[in-house]
Amino acid sequence: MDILVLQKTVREELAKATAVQAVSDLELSYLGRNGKINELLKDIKSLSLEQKKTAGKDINSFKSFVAEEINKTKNILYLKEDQKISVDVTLPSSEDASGSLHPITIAVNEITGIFNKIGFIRMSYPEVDWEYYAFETLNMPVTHAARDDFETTFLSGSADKKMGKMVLTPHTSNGQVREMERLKSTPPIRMINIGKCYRPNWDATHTPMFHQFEGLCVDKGITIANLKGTLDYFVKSYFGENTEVRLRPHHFQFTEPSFEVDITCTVCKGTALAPLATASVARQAKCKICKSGWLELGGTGMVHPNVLKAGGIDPLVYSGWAFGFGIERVNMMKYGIDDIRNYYTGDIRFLNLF
Amino acid sequence: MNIKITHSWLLEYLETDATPLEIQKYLSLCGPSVERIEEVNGETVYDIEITSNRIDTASVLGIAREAAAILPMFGKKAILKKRLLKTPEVPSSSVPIEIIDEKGICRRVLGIVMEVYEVSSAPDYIAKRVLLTGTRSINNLVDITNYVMTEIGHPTHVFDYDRIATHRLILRHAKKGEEIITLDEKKYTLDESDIVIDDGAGRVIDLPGIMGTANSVVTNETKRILFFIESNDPVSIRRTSMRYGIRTMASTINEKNPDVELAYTAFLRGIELFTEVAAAKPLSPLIDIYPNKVKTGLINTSKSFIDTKVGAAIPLKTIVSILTNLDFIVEVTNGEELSITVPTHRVSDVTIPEDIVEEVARVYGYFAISSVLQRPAYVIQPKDKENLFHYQYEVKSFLKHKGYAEVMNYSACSPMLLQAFGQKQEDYLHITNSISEDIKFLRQSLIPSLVQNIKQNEGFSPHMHLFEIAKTYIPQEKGLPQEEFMLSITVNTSFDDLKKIVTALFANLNIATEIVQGGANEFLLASVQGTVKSGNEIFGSFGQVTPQFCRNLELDKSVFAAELYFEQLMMAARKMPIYKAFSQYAHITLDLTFKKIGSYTQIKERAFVASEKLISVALKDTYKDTITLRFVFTDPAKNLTEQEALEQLEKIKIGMESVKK
Repeated sequence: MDILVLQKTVREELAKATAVQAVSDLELSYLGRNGKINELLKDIKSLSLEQKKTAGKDINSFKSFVAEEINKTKNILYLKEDQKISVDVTLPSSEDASGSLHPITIAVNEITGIFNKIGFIRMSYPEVDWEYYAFETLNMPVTHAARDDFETTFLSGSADKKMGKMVLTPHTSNGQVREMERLKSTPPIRMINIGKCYRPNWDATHTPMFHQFEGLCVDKGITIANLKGTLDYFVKSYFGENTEVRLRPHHFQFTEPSFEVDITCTVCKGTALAPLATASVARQAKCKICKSGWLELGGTGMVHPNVLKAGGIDPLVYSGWAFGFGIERVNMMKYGIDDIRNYYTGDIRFLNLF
Repeated sequence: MNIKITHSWLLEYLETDATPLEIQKYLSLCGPSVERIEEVNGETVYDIEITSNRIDTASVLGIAREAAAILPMFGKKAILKKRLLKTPEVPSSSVPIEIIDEKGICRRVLGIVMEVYEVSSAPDYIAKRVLLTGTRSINNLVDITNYVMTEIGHPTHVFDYDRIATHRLILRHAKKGEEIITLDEKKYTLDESDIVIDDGAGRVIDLPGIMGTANSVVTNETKRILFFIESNDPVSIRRTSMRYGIRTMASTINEKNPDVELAYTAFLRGIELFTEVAAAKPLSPLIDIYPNKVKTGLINTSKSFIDTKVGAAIPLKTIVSILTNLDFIVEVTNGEELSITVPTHRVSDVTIPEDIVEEVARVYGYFAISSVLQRPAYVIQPKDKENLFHYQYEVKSFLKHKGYAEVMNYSACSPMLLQAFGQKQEDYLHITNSISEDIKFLRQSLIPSLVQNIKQNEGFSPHMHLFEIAKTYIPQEKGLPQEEFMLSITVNTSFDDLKKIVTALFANLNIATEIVQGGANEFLLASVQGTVKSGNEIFGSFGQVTPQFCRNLELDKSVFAAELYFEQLMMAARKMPIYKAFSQYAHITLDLTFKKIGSYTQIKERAFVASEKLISVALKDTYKDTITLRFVFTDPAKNLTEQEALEQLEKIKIGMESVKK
């Protein structure tokens, strides 16, 4: 037997193979149980011991040669095949189910997280409540004109002699005295109350149902500086590090002093100027969103002593601050969701945007 | 409310070097909010928001006073120029005039009869200002009353003296059903709580503080006037004006309790203008019915109290000068104790030390106070609340990722929707002053609204998977309704889709449940309804929405819905499943086909009863009346042999057959 001839034959056969399968077939014909190598091994039985030794060596080296050549050829062919694989990855995939969270849910989650970090616990209080919690405890006695500011939604449930009529809460502030009562009139209080509110307004900028988040902090020595600190923290966390906050005097019955909170406009960054369209514009137009560089966030103030008293807390020992902001409003300011009428219609075209 | 005043008018009461833009900026930061500045016909007009407690600022005089206190804090010159008003000379003999307020309905009544030279249009400067501040220019007499109101801040009225034939004015409560025609020719039927002026012959000649009546107002023929001001009861003014929807500037101011002392200033200023503009001469003395003079207020507080509430140390000198500029009189004792006299125009607003804190802090400048987070405090959040919010977000996210869209509907629905779902209105709480029939009845289930959502979206999306988590309001025998969070899911695709999501949801919350045929949800078909339970705990129902209800909404396609008690779900949910180590030994899977008798749940129960080595059952197929199940067997202590597994399967087979017999 001439190993060199055999090797040549193997090389020639492998050179003809153009697919991995053909090489696998060759592999079987040489290295398989009934392959040529085993044939050769059978043939050497008849040889003398000396010849057996030489032939055995030759056959083994031939076997290694075949295995190596087959492996090499296979790798080359595999590489060629791999190179043929090609997919247009820009083609769309088959559709996966895509659902959505309501924009209110997204904001509520974000806001809760921000206040959690500074130790405020989220609470939830009735949406149908007595006038007592919606007004009386908030320093708004029955005859008070301020009650007209909250054009209230009354319910058919029978009134209570002490508690007054049943109303849909016009604000989340009904949670203030309820939280004081829950804590048995014992501060500290650190509450964030998020809920649905109701007022009988239905137009381009009002829906009869909306959401508020209410902050309430009562402790010894709580100051206006603390309120400013908290608002500053919230506004920077929620709207961005460069957002500034300012307080302006205002009036609410349940706070004294009372403020309105403005933040630097999220669009013009407080410059009050519209983005420059062209360099040639001689006089830059005013920002269309804010006109003044500031956007109104909502109402706040230092808890009125009468509210603390209504919650059984001594205003000579404790003080506090409170605020109530609209979630639809902060969504508008932060994310530009400007038509709030879509929020509660269940329109799938709106919901699918989130 | 908002008022408009012009810059030139303001300068008649304020000496300043501040520009209109500076005035806008600084006033808004420390006092009334100047919302806009407009340039109209060469005049700068301020549009100013007046909060309900600061009616004293609803005038040129009031804004000038604020500016005089605020602008100097920004280094601007600002001095209040008070107008010197003379008491007019009155004739020794008076024309007949009698004003009677026997019951003391008003706190003060002022009146004077004057002879006017002519009724004409007002001089330009008056007509122009009246127009710019948002009122129509009528004639010199009426314009003066509006001019005085804007300048001084107290409403005034002018009668035609000769149209009150009796020359008597009696303040009294209206009689029920009494009719009047206001000067804008509108007719109103009055109530006993309204206050009117009677001419002594039973004729109503005014709705004081709100609007004059057609029968007594000045006309072009007027020769003699009665200039009249009264300080009415603010609550009564508000009620009457709200009841009839007569929202005049006068009523808006009067209902906010303007200063009674200010009425006299307005009176003298009015007389001065009638004299100047209409060459008027007094025909009667000044009538001033003022039984109880308004008192100034007194508040005792201290610098340290102010500092503690503000969170900053404001120099005593600054505190005193701020308050003095606002017309408070301050007496300092012991170096820091403050005894503060509150001027009459602030007595209804400034009553407690906190009000003084506001006055000082706002003029000092809220911007000048530093921002300091309060020291932390630990408040325990009730576990049920923590879980409620945690699982709400968890469940919402889960459903979102499963392809469901979250809806938020109004908490109330229409009578039509109730009717479509076979509900009785009387079982529901309803809004008594609803602005729309669409939101009248408080929901007790979320399913009707969600089915309505499917209907409304029909044209936009053929396949809909929706959910909502919201409160329902169940009326109680007594007291507030029970507010209960529900989770409802609706699909318009298939029952299988619904069951798949319900099953996956419970698995995700690690709640082991069983499903039984039938349920108590009245919106679902009894025959296509299941109840999800765990032991005795019922989580809710799922199934097909009764087709008749869908047809009532003109929905032809089937709708499937689940409604689950969210708080029950939340209480049973686990953040981690109950841990059970996986078996080290072989699992043997065997199939069996047999005749289906009873529900799948029952068959499954039977299988577990029959074999102690069974660990799971799955549905492989159903064909006609047969069912093919796949059983998995294992032994916790050793490797099960195939033979042993077959023996178990045989036990199950016998178990199933025993039911047939």
